Amino acid sequence: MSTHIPDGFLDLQICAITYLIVLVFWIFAFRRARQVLSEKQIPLMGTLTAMFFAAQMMNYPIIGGTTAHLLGGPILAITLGPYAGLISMTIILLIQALFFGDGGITTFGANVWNMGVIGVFIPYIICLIIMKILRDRKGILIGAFIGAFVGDLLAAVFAGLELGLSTLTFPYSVSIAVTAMAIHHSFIGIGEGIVTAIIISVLLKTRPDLLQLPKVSPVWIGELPIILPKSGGP
Amino acid sequence: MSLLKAFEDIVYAEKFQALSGLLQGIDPRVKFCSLVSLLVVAVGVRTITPLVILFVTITVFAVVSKIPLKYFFLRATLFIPIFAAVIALPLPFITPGTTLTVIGYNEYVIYITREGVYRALQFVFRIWVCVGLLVLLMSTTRFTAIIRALETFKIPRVFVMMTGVTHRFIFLFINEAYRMLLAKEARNVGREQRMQVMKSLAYIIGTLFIRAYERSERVYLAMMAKAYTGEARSMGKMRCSWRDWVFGVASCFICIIVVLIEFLNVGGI
Repeated sequence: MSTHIPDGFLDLQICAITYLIVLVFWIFAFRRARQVLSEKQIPLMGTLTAMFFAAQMMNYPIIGGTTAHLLGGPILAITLGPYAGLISMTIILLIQALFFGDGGITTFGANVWNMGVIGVFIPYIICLIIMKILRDRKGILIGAFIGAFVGDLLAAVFAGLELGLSTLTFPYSVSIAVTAMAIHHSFIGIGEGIVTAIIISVLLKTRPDLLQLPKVSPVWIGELPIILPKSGGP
Repeated sequence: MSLLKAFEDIVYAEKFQALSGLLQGIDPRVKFCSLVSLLVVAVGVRTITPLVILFVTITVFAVVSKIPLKYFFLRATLFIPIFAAVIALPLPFITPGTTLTVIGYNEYVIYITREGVYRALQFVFRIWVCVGLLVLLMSTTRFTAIIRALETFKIPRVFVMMTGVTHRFIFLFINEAYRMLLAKEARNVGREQRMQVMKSLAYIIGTLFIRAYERSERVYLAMMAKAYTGEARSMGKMRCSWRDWVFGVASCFICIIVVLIEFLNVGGI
């Protein structure tokens, strides 16, 4: 099961709570985006969002004959910053729900919380911490791997938690839902981590300037340190 | 969701969006609000009777919107409700209650309870109704109309503009991703290792990322050439006609009836 929760799986109370929490993040994200983004970055973020939408449709095999696909949150966070990543993921989820019927409207808040907040902020913070310790190319790769893995796993745990807490609609308890989601997504998370790290290494090799785009990140978290390319630089 | 299935979905949906049915003619704001209220009611109900009323309502909506029922039922039943049915499968066996039948012999028996069967049916049926409503919205509304409706809902301009740009370029990138995957498959000999698949996929996505960035520069220049200043203005205004009002009021009425039946619990189920 993907982490896209369809309509009818969550209680209305859970839907309302997640909408409210996500609303706070949206308000801060849009306020910060208005300060940081120039008019040039709107087409940039739009095209990158479209590209990640396409990337999410490509499946790769994981353990046990099942397939997974990239969520893209960690890369969006590392290249554009967590707030921009949240906005991009919101657009992706909106189009998936209203255009492709993947996801839902009442569960939209919960899906944005899982994949747009947890799946974007957690990888960013983890990557930031690891890069502070290891100040070189290895730091960003290890950070991207661990960040993507933990982010994916936590997103799944939250999805399980929301399902389990929906006692009126979802028939199983929190422990069952969380365990099922966590076991499945620990494998998917490893895939997400590996693919994310390789994409970052490709970008480092070919276009390291793309990792130094202006980032829309909260002031209290701070920005990722800049990694200079191996050859060139001062 | 795979690449080809996505294309197929869009082609079908666009075909029905262009028809001159009832829902296609309703103002997107009114339609969105009405269908979402029905959806919220559907998520909230716990008994079968209100769900049957909602089921009849959306079937009628599909018919008057000229959506072929075969397509509608297939699209609404495949995948999510079937997945829900798989989830609900153990419920008849594990829910305590009055025994309906017993399977097995001697001491190896499983009890199927009335409450369990009811819970499973109610769960799957409710999800079917929710998916049906979403399919109804998708196959009668152009996404550009949804974007224009968002503009009037006081959603930040940045978001509306970015959604517009994203929507325009999705198909291009899906197509590009598909061509790159095809090219990769054409170069392949034999079976790939799992790690190799992930690596080549990551390279494709990395390349797509760079191409998307470079395209965004050209898109920006093209927008500048068309007098883009960072502001968006849409042409024309959306207006509600008497048809939209009647539709909105009718949907509200159905919502109220369903909620009333749920609370009064007419018929007990």
